[in-house]
Parts: sequence; structure tokens; C-alpha cells
Amino acid sequence: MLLEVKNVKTEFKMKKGMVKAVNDVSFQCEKGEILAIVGESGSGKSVTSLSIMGLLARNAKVTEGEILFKGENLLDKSASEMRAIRGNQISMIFQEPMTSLNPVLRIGDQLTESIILHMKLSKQEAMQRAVEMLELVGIPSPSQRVKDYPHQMSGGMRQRVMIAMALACNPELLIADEPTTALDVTIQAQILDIIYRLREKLGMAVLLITHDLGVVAEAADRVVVMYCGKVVEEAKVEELFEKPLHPYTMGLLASIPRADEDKEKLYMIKGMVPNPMNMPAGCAFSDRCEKCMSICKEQEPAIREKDGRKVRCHLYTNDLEVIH
Amino acid sequence: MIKYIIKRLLLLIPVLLGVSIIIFAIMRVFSPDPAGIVLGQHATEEKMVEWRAANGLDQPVVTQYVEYMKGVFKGDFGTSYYSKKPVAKEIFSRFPATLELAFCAIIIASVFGMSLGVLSAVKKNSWIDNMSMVLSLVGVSMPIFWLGILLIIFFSGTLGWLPAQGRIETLLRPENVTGFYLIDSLIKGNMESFSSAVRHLVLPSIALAMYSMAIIARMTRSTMLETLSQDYIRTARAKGIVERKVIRKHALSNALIPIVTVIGIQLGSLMGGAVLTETVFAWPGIGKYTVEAIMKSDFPIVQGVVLLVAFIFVMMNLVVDIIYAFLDPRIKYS
Repeated sequence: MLLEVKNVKTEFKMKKGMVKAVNDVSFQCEKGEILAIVGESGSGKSVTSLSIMGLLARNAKVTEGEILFKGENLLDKSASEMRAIRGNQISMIFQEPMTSLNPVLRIGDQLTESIILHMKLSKQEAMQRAVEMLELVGIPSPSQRVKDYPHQMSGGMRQRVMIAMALACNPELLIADEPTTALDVTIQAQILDIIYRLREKLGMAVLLITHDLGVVAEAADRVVVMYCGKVVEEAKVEELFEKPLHPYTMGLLASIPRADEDKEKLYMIKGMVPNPMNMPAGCAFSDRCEKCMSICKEQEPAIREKDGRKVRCHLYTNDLEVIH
Repeated sequence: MIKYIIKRLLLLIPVLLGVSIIIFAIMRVFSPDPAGIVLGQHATEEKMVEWRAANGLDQPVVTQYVEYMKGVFKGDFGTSYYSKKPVAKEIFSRFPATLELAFCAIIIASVFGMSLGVLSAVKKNSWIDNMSMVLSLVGVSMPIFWLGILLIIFFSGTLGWLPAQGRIETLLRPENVTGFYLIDSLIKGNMESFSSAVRHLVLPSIALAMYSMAIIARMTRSTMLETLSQDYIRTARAKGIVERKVIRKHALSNALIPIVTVIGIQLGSLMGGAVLTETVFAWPGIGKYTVEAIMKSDFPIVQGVVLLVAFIFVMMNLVVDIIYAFLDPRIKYS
């Protein structure tokens, strides 16, 4: 197993007290697999990825759990050990290609930085590698483009540069945090295609964080659905789309517009994500759930597993076995 | 770029015209009659009329101004009422002293101000941050002359380490080449004068630097805090770069524009002469000289200095704008 996230809790220190952004999250990611983490804003998916990278904001901390990367707990690593892993074995691309590149440094400088650092290449060799990487992500005339500044490139091109930068040191795990959200639909498809293609070619695993189920359907092997800092469902991508178990997942799927259906109005999950300072007792989704039962308001459901699928819902209390 | 610079230089003309009109008017409206001061209180009325006529002050103000500007365009800024020497000569014999002090002060202010600001931003809300912000608050609020006097009492009086007054020991004054004693003594290879010049510079530079340092530290802190929260800083950290390099290479280079702006403005105002510092340390610069000229209604000197200061400010702004283009590739002048 490449990555095992075990019962991780990440808390933010706020003026009003501690807020659990990630609450007992567990999942695993195998070598070469594309694992999607899906959820609304505030579901804790980005915080989960930053917890893995060790790049949490100063007021945030992983308070419980383990993050095992190739069997070693990343939470036990020192700052310098983490630096040797970041950008080398685990790398990350971000949502905003427009602001994720340093505006005053040339593309080539930004690309070679991690190559020189982790691969111990000379400046010329690193630049050569940078050009190769740009070519790999489909940037035309890469040997010229390394001299460009970010503002001379479009959003799609910048995201390609980000991918090239992330993959430059042959990472084993790529964390892609909403890599296509800020891009046009046509560019989205290209970027996903690049990630998909390079996964095949380079064999790295991808943790694809997104709120877009279209992206999930297109690229992922397996899906983890998060809601309010908890995993509510986990399944293979085909299974999830075919038969979602959790009412939240059902709602998400139902709210996707479909070209083959002529609906007057799109489906909408009623209500709002609860305030993390004031979570409902019992199941966090209970206030919005169409299948809410009286037990849901009282008792928090545990994750249950059956046939490689996991779900956190009282609907399945009887036919699935409790795993923790 | 060159076109832009020329355009900006052309803008100097209206600025200098405006400034010259204002200072010309102010001097003639608010200053006491120079004839009375130059000739002393026992001068007869005839003598005073005669003196005014000789210096063109009997003419209508507009005529005086036109005559003055005619001279200015020919490079003649008039002569001092007292020394009878050309204004340009009087000013430029004192200007290097002011510049030398201003440059030393701005270097101290920039180095310490930026270091404190960066440190504060990186260690936000720690005791280091609190200490350096208290220090910069003190720097902004402490009157320069008082700080100057404290420095003199302690370093020059109690400890006796450094001289309290003047630019250099008189006997060690280097031969005049640039007017900058540090440079002149180095040109002649005279280390004794060099060290004397340095020792004389220390206290006034520190006193003068304090305020600018505080302003620079605050500006650096706030822009660094903003820059450190940018996405590209997270990207840099995600690459596994050491924090020191993240701060220096990725954050500071992006935070420099507002910092350079503040440094430019501070340097501009320091070059206009530091009246209080020059007075406390008996520094023979332009600030003290100008105040004396104002007191004595020496119109040509005051006008000349004000024009020079306006010119310096416009040039400083231009230089800062040009530096922007080097700091940020997105800024292009065309």
C-alpha cells in the first residue's frame, strides 16, 4: 500500500475554540491508482491533502491518527525529512494555476528549483529536464517557454507547468487539489487527460481532490466521498455511479445536469452544510437527508463495509458489518 | 522604456514651474524684508531702497519672477544676499555632506528595517514580532533631536567612543574631489581621514535612520505577511524548499515593490536635508543652511534649495518606477 490515512483528525485553533476540519478520516491509496476525494467546500478534502503534505496553516494541526506513506508515518517525520519527501516522492498541484506560480520568476527557474534540490542535477541538466517535462505535458516550443514568466501564459498552460513541476522528480504520489476547477471546460478535459496519460506512463498514484463528479467519472478508479470532515462513502467509481449508497452521494449524483433528461429544474440537496462550530447531534447530514430516521438525529452512524464498499449511514445498519 | 523616461522627464518642467511660483510667492508674502536684515537695524531708508533696487526687489513681483526664471533657464540661480556667492555654488558646497549622511542613513534604515520587518512577518505574533514592532513604534515617535542628544551623551560623552560634532577632524579633511569625504579619502588612499569620516558619520546616521527604519520595518512586515499567504508560497513549500529560501527567493522578491517605494520616498526626504540632525550634530549640510537662509530672508538660496529638493523628489520617483520594471516582469513601460 502506497498511502494509508488512518483515523486522521485535523483541528484548527479558532478564536471560539477548536474546529475539527477533518474528523476521523481513513482511506488507502495503492500504487498507480487514481483515488478521488469528493465533497463540497468545507468537507475537509483540501485539509486532508494538506495534512498529508505537512503544509497545514500555522493554526492547524493533525491531532490524532497516522498517515503512512510506504509504511512510514509522515506525522513522525522532522521538518527536514518532510522537505526531502515533498516535491520529490509526494508532490502537489493546486486549484488556482493563475496564482500558484511565482509571478517574478521565470518558468524555467521555478521548474528547475525542485529538480536541482531533489535530483541533485546541475543547472544545465536540470534545465534540460525542465524542457523535457514541459514537452511531456504538451507545451509547444518548451525550450523557449522556460524563459517566459507566468503572466505570459494562459491558465491552462500554467496548470500544465504546475503538473510538469510536480512530476519533475518522478513522484510516487501526486496530490491534485481541484486541478481543473479554475479552468474552462475544454481545458479541463485536456488537463485531466494529461494527468491520466502521465499516470499510465510514469506509474504514480494520484489523489484527485474535487467537487466535480464529472471529473471523478472521467478519471478516477476509486472514490471517497467526504461530508463535514468525515468519509461517508467509499467505492469503486463504477459502483458509486451505478448504485450510490449514502443519501448524500445520491443527492450529489442527482444534482448533476444530464443531457439525456429533460428536467424543468435541477435537483438540489436541501439546506446548507452545517456550521462546524455547531454540528447537529447524530449524523452530520441528518438535517438535509431525505431518508432521515429518528436514530439519525441521536446517534452518529459508524462506517460499515460490504463487498469492498464502505458507507456511513443508519440505512444499512442491519445488512452491513461495522468496521470501527 | 526610453520613451517613458523622456516623457517623465518632460513632466519635470510643469512641476518645477509650479514649485518655483509657490516658493517665490511664499517668500515674498511671508518673509520679512531682506533689506532690513541684510543692512541691519540701523540702516537708513535710502540705503534700503538702494539695496532693494540693486537686488531687483523694487520691481513688481511678476517681473521679479520672470527675471528669476530667465536666469534659472540659463543656469543662473542668483547670488546669496550675504555671501554674494552664486546660489549653485553655495548649495553644492554643502550638498555632498547632506548626501553622504542621507545615503548612510538610508542604508542603515533599509538593512535593519527590512530585516526587522521580515523577521516580524515570519514570526508573526511572537515575542520577536512584538519587540520589533515596539521598536519601530519608538522609532516613529521619538523626536530625532532628542535621540541625537541621547546618542551624543552616551556614546560621545559617557563612553567617549565617537565624536559628537562635524564631518571630520579638521586637519584630516581630504582634498576635495567629489565632496564626499568617504570617497575622497579613499581616492587619496588616506585611511586616517577615512576612519575619521566614518566615526563622525555613525551617530548622525543612526539618529537620522531611526525614523525611516521604523517606517520601512512596518511596510516590510505588512507586505511580507500578505505575500506569505499567497498561493505561490504554498507551491514553493510543496516543492520541499527550505523555509529560508522560500522567504528570500519567493516571498521577499514579491514584496519588494512597496518596500522600494517607501525607501525611495524616505531617501528623497533625507536628501532634502535633515534640519534637526544637522543642527544637533553640527553637520554642515544643506538642511541647516536652508533654515538659516529662511531666517535671514535669503530669497535666492531658499528658492534654489526648494527647486533642488523638488527636482530630487521627481527624480527619486522616476528611479523607483524604473526599479519596479526590474523587480516585476509584469510591469512594462511603453
